[in-house]
Amino acid sequence: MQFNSFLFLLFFAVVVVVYYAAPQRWRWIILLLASYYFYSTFQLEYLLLLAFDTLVTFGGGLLIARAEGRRRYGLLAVGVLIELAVLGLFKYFDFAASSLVAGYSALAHPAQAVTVPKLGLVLPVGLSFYTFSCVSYLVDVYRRKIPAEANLGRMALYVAFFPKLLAGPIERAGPFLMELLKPVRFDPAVVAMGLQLMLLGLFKKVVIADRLAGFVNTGFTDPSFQSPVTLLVSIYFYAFQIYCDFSAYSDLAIGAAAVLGLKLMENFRRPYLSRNIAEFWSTRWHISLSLFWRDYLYIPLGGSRVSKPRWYLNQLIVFLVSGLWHGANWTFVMWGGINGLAQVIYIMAANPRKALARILPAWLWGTLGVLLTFHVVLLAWVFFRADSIAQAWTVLTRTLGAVPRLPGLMAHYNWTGEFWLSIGLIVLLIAYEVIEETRGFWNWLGSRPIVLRWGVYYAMSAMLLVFGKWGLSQFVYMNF
Amino acid sequence: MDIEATVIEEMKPGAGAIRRALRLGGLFVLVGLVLYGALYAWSEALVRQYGERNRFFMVNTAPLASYDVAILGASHAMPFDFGDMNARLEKAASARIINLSLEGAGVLPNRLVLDYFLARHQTRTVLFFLDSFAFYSRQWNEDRINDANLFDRATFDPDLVATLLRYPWSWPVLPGYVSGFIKINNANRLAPDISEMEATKFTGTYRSIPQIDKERITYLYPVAIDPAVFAHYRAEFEDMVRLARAHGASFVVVKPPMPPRYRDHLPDEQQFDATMQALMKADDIPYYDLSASLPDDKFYEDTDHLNRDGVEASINGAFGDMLRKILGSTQGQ
Repeated sequence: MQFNSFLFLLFFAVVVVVYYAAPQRWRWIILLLASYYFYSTFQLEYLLLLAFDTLVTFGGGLLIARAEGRRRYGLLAVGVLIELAVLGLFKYFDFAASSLVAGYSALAHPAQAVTVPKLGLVLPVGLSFYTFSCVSYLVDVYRRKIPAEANLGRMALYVAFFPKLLAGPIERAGPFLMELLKPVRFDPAVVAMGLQLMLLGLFKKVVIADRLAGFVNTGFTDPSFQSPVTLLVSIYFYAFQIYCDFSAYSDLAIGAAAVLGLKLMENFRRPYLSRNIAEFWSTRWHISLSLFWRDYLYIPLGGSRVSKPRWYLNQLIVFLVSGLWHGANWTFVMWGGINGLAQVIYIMAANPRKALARILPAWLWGTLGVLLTFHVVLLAWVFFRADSIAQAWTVLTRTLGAVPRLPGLMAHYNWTGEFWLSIGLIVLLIAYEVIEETRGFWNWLGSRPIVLRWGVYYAMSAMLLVFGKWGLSQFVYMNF
Repeated sequence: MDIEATVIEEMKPGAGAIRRALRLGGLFVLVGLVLYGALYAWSEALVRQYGERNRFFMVNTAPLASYDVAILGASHAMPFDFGDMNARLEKAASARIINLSLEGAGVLPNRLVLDYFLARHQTRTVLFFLDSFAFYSRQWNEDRINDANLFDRATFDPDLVATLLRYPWSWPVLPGYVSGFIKINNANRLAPDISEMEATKFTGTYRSIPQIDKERITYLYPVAIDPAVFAHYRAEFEDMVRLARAHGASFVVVKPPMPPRYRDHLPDEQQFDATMQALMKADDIPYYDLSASLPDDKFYEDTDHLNRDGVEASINGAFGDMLRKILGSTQGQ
């Protein structure tokens, strides 16, 4: 059951009515049942894996909380290893096997073909995300940041809460379990805010992301045979497709949780307005994942409180691991590598940056920063989207190699109505983001007369109906 | 005293505030429904303005109460309706003909269209273009019915709703059709209602490429033919024959012309022919095999569809003869 389907909207409406009609003490049970039902609609067998991870996390948390010293650490290690082993088995086994075979054949015995059987397992949706929820819980209990949860049902709901189950935000257990203990009241203002977010999310996914996907898919299918203009359009459109797709999921998740009176953490904050790569990653793009890496990998590695070379290495390690988390493919490693390298260069260039900031007017410095950051991210997205490094290379070299000829080539491009509609939607998105950044769009709208407010909601709904690409695709991040 | 309940009670927004919010919410929904109605009316008007070839639209707007021949089948029957071909066919056969064939349509979509047609019109003969792929998978049957494209130019009609309700396999498409969402969401709402086959290729000639022929067959046919699935759609086919006969129409089957480079590579085709011929003999269904009547590639616009020259040759040749024959034999029925 995809978020971008009428079936989900119907399911959600039923859950909301039953949830608020039920007595307070039953509500978490309703959410748990709804979450398990929701997950079962993808593949019934996946429930076993979800339940297994939940039991390991629940049991592990209780045991860690009671243990001390080395035993405590040992239990944490076992718990985390079990969680990661499950993820590794489904996500990385075949990739590791084929990479090892390729490496062995190329380096040790070029003439000798070696085969390792592949498991051919299909990655269950959401596994990468709920595994991280489980890991963060175990580590937080180990660090005594939170007490171990004594109620298996509430623990299960933390892992399986349906709005965030498939693609985050990777919520921390502490705040979420606290939320579950608080009495939930029907607050029209909060419910309205949640519905606004859901409407925005649906709009971004169905009207913008899935529209851009058509152009992007054309460019990345046999890029050797596509015109450089088609490839250029694909590259730029993909940056907005992936943003609208992923942030739409987060908007829907956070909005749905808000309608149910629960708070999930913010996951995106207008990332393409970042003035540098550090800002992009630390406070604007996939915030819950960035915080996960910070707390559970970067800081344990020593963070920035080490020698400079080690600091740079820590940055690179985090981004390379992050790349691999997104998918078992060298393209994701490359994506992580480019972002990591950009981060290291940004840190190394601290002095020239300060000097330039003093010379240039603030508006120009800010604009240049936004444009440069966007294009670094854009370069990395090419590898993220491509099926292979070779394909990404083809896309980049064919596009960059044709830059001098672009004006002439553009005359032959098929400038369809769909293209101009897509451009219009991107402009609308950027305008929205700028208003949201400077004065808060929804706050501003909230203070306007009801005719204007409702007009915006109706206009968005009408565009969803008229221009929406319904039922076409699942969310990109559900593949990770 | 239940402390938790007391806390909740104190935290509740005033009952007045909730009532006000619910009233506003109700008004919002009401205005939304009115606006949706306007969108629906606009989409319906566009369908009436641009609708042309959509088969449900054709049935709904067909001018005659009674026809001599209603043609059913998949894309191999469609070229007989491209351009002015249907008018020429009517002239050649001196008959009133409506072509209701659908691209990629197996037995079930054809049965649905026929049932809807017979709810509003009459015909002396149902002429069914036989394609083996139509009997082998859900893809061209249940899944095709639930393809929104099939209904994106279908005007709202209670008869069609009633027809859809009769077949559980078509229920998934009902909400989209009844609510008008399929029409409202139709991205091609302002585009001409003709297929790509008709718009861009009909007057062209195909230059054979074996790989493309092979890919076409792979696209249409399942990896392995399941006898149970074949038997299931055969039974549905027999139901369709009974439906036509119950409405006083004779049922005739024709195997359309196909180039040998394509026909000879269809999987299990001889066994299919034998099974279907036995069935038609048992059910007393007239059967005409024209598959070898136009072997030359110059008669085809792509791997397996007739082009303009091919349809004209058919009308002036075997297909026209067959039509005159069956119309002659059903005179007075």
